Amino acid sequence: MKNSRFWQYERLQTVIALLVVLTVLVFGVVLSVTIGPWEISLAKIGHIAVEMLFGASATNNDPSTAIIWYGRIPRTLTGVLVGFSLGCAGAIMQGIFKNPMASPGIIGTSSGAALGAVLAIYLGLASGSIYVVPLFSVAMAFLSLLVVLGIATTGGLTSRYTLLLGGIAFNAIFTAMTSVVIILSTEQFDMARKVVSWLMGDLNNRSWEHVLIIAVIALVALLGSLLFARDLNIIMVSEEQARNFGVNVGLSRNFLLFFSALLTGGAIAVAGGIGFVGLIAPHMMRSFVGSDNRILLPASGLLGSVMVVYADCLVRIVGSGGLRIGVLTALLGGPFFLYLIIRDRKKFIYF
Amino acid sequence: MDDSIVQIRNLCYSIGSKQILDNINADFATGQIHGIVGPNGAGKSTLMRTICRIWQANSGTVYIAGRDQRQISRRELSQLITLVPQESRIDFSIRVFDFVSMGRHPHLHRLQWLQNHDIEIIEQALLVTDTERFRDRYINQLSGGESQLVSIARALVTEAPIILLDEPTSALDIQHKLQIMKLLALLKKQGKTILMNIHDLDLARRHCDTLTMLRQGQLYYQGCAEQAFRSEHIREVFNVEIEESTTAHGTSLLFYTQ
Repeated sequence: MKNSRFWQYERLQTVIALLVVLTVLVFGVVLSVTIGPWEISLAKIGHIAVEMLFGASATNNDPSTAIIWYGRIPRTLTGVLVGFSLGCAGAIMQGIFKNPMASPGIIGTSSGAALGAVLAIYLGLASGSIYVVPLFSVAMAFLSLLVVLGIATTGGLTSRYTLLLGGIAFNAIFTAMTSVVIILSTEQFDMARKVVSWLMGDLNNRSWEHVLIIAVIALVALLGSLLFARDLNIIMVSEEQARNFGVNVGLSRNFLLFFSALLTGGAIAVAGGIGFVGLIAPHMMRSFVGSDNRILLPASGLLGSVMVVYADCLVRIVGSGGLRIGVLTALLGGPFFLYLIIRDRKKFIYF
Repeated sequence: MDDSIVQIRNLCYSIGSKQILDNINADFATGQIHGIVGPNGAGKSTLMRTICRIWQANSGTVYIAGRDQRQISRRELSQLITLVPQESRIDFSIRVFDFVSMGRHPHLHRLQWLQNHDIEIIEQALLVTDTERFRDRYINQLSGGESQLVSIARALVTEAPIILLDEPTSALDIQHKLQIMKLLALLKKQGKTILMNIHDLDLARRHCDTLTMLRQGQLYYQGCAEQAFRSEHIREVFNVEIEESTTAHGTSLLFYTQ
């Protein structure tokens, strides 16, 4: 193969970046399961995990088993998978909208999903089955994506200007509607408190059922979107060119939209509003692994996991109950978004 | 004409009530360079996009190598005919090599990565278009002329025998214009059929084997390039006057308004 040295260097850089992110993630997971008011040694945690995993004589009477196996491990895994979903969803959206600023939070997908979830809770459907909230939020996420895409696209071109303005409008509408639902629910004080706390993004009291839901969603959506990842590589240059090179643009784009809605809705349903992960993770990974979505999608997911797991650790260490993950990611992500705007502001004059 | 690789019959295209292409009939012979000229809004770009079915015509038929284009799958059609668009704005940093490799898309299965065979074809296209030296640069950092060459390289990588170019020279300086024309002549020698929209009539006359003139969505003239430049043609299509002036290096065209 006649490959230049630079080409091979690129590949090497990708592999190193992925290994670094993966190592940081593993370290974060270990850190996350050790944090808590009960001090339990790492050796014991490992022992419990192995014991429960392989179903040996489960010592259920031991309180640390309950804390680790039904508390910290599902919490941590939920964080990993939620972060992965958000990062991956952001990468897909940036490709579809041909815009490195598109992300679930900014174009209104997250607030749409949140509205769906809050509605499900308010209507009392959530108590029936644990799958109702995810179903509602995924449906609303997909709907809001379709509408925003419809508004921002004319003649096969998606305007970044219209897209971001549309995002502002939808965020306002969905947030207002969510507020209405909250106000309506204040009669049941406990429910209102639950809804508001959940909206801020939270990983408290996550069970294995949550892990299962988001794991299935993340796996299906990742594998599904990888089927269309090379199509996305061309769609993100131009839809016309994608058609020119034999891509069935309508089919690919709708599937990709659905998968990104699935990821966003699923993440929001199990963890509430965690913003900016979908914006930052793909952005940062792009400069290390390049723009090939076959690598970028899982890579952005991994960095998203890192962000959520560490945010969750930080919240537990310094937050003392007051700080929420969503609040923290917004505090860090907001300035990053500002940086992008300032960096690109010359382009905005023309578009 | 039996040797025409592209045959257009009664082609119509409209957006809403606006008729963009009005009953076009034209033939494009294999292995030649065909220029398509006409004033802005005459339907040149639309014609290209309907020929390669990026846009679906309302009625009429396009035959590609004798086959009704609508009967050919999107993937196969992309292996037969490819469009080089005008420069487009790209927000992502994509390396030239990766950009050019997109042309292999119609040849690859859904989960297939580039094979050695594909990489050889890409390398060859980079060499032919003289873009090998910036293969590792980002596509959004290239000049207009450079990115046009890269787009042509990407079209070559599809191995399509028919290449459509939408205004390949309109944004370029004279040196790059001539470089593109030289490249097209080389591709013609390799057996490619080339259709291009072109605004520069002098360039069209020198480098095209045939000219197709469009006016308000209708075919006004199709034939050899020399015949196309009769003053009544130019007056009717472009609403300008034409004069030939001959120097030691050949004849050139002078256009002026009354």
